[in-house]
Amino acid sequence: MTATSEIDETEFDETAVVGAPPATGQHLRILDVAGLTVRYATPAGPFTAVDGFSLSLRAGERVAVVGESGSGKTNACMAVAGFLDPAADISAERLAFRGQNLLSARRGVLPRRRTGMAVVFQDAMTSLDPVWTVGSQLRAVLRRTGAHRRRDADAAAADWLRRVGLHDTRRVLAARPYELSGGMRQRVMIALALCGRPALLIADEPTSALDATLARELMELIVSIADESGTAVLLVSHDIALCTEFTDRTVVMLGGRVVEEQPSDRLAELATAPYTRGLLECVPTLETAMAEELPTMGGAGGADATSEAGAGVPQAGAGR
Amino acid sequence: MSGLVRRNLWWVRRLAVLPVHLFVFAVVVFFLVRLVPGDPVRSLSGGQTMTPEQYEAAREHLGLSGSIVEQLLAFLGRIGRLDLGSSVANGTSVSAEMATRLPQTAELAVLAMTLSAAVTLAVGFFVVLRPGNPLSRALAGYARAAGAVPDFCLGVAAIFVFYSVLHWAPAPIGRYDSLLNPPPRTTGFPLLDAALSSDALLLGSMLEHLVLPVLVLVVAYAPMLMKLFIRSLSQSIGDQATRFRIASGASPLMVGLSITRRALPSSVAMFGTIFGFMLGGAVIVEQLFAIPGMGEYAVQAVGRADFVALQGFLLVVGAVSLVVFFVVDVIIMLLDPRRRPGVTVEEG
Repeated sequence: MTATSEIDETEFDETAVVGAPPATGQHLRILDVAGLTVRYATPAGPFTAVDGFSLSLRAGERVAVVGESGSGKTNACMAVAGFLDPAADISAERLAFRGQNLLSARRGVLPRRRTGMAVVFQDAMTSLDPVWTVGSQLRAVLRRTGAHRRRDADAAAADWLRRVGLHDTRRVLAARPYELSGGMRQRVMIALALCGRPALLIADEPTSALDATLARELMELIVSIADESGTAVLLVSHDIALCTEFTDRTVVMLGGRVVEEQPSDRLAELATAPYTRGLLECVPTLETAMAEELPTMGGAGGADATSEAGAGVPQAGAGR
Repeated sequence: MSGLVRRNLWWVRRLAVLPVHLFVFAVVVFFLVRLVPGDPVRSLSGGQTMTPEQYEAAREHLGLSGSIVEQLLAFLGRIGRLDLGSSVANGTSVSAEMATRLPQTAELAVLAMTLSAAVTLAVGFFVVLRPGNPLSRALAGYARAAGAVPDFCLGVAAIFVFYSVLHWAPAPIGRYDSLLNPPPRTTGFPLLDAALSSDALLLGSMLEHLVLPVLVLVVAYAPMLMKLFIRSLSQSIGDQATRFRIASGASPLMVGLSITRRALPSSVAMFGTIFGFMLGGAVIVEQLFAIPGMGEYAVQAVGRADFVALQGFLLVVGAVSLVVFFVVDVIIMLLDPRRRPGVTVEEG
C-alpha cells in the first residue's frame, strides 16, 4: 500500500541527542525558536500570522502562550509541532527541538510526528479516534515505548487510565470515545498524549471547551503527570488566569508578535505592555466584581497590530 | 451469556430481517411480473385459436388459474421448495438455468469488483498523498468524471482496438475457445472448475477471454468507487483524530490503518451497490462478449415474454443482492460501530 511509505516518519536517534556533548548552558534547552514567521498566501496578498516569534524552553519547564483569537499563538505552536498546512510558509532563524532542526523536516499531506513531542488539542471528542476502542488507541502508543506484548501493553494502558483518574479500567479500555462522558474523554486524551513519555507536551487550548472546575482539575492533572515524567509543557490558551497559575513563564502575543514575556508568578507586577495590563485587569476577581466596565483596547495596546489578524487558523490536512 | 447476546445483537438483528426482506421482495416480484401487459397464454399460443377448455388448461398449467391470492400462495409455496418453475418459452427448469448462469456472472462480478477495490485503494492513496503529481491529477480527473464513459462504449472500443485491430485479445465469443471442451462440473464456477481440472490450455483460454470484459467493467465502474474513496480519504486524513494519532505517537502503520478504517464505510456501501448490480448481470458486457450469464438470460426472458423465467431471474438476483447488502451492512458496522442500531452519538 502506498500509505505506509508516506507515513514513515523520520526517526532520529534519541540517545545520540541526549548523549551529545552539551553546548555551554544550553544542555537543558529542549526547544529553541528564534524569529519564527508564518505567512499565508491569500487572494488579498500575503498574510503574516506569526511575526518573529521567539521562545526557548528548558526540560521540564512550563510556558504559557497567551493571546486573543488571531494573535498567532496557535499558528506559532502548530508550526513548532509540525501541524501547519503545507501551504503555510514557515521561516525562522532557529527552530530546533532537542538539537534537531525542525525547519528541514519535509511537510506533506500527512503531518509527521516530531519524536518526543506530543500535542493535545481542544476537543477530545474530535481528537480521539471514534471507531477504535480506548484500549486499542492506548496500546498503539504504548507498543512503541517498550510494551511490545499485548499483555504488557494492556497492563500499561490500564495503569495510565488510573493515573488520569479513570479507575473503571476494564470498561473504559473496551469503550469507544462516544461511549464515555466528556470529562472521561478529556482524561483519556491526556493519558494518550502523555503515555508516549514526550519531552515536550504542546497543549493547544486543552481545557477551553470545559467548565471552569473541570478545566482546573485537568490542568492540575496535566501538570502533575508532566512533573513526574519531566515533560516540558507549552500551554496555548486565551485564559490568562489559567496560564499564570500553572506555568513558570508567560508569553503574551498580539497580532502575530510577542509583546510580553515574564515569569508567570510575577506577571502582574512586571508586565509593561499595555495589552498585558489590560488582559490582567479583565480577569474577574472579587475586587473587580463591582467594576462598572472592563478595560477595552482603545488606542493603546497596539490595536493597530490586530487589524491585520485573520480569523481562521489554517492547519494541516484537507477538509478542515 | 447475556453479555454475549447483547454484544452480538446488532448483527443478529440485521440477519433476522433478511428473510423478511426476501419475503417482501418475492411478493413484489409476483405482482410486478403480473403487471407486464399482455396475456401470456395468448402470446405463447402464437395467436392460434384455442377452445375455452384449452385456454383454461393452459392457464392452469402456468399457475394462472384461481384468484390472485391463490396464485400468490401457490407461488410462495413453490419458492419455499426452491422450485422456480419451468420456462414458458422452452420448458427448461429455471432453477437449473440459474444454477449454471449465476456462477458465470458471479465469477465475472467477483473478479471485476476485486480488481476495482484494489485499484481504488491504490489510486486513492496515491491521489491523496501525492496531490501535485501529474499522474495523480490525471487519475483524480478520471475519477471525477466517474461514469462519464458508459460500459457499452468502452466495451465496443475495447473489442475494436484489442481484438479487431491489435489482435491481442481472443474473439469476444463465450468464456473459452470454442474448440476446447468445457471443464468437468465440480463447483459450477467455470474458471474454478478449469483450475481444478488442471487443464492448463482451458484455464489459459478462459483467462484470456476474461481479460477484456473484466477490464471494461473495472474501467467503467471503479471510478465511482475512486471518487468516493478519494473524498473520504482526504477527509479522514484532515480529521483531528488523524492529527492526534500522529501527535500522540502511534506507529505509522497504525495511523494508516486508522485513516483507512475511518475512510472506508461510504466506499464499502458503494462497493456493495455496484456488486449487487453486476450480479444481476452486467447485461451489456455479457451481450458484447457473449457470456452466457444472468444478464443474457434476463434479456431473453423479456424478449420471449417468458414471465416464469423473468420471475425466477428477479428472485435469484434479489436474494443474492439482499445477501450482499447484508454482508456490506455488517462490514460497515464492524468498521464504524457508531452505525450499529441503538448507538447514539452526541455531537461535538
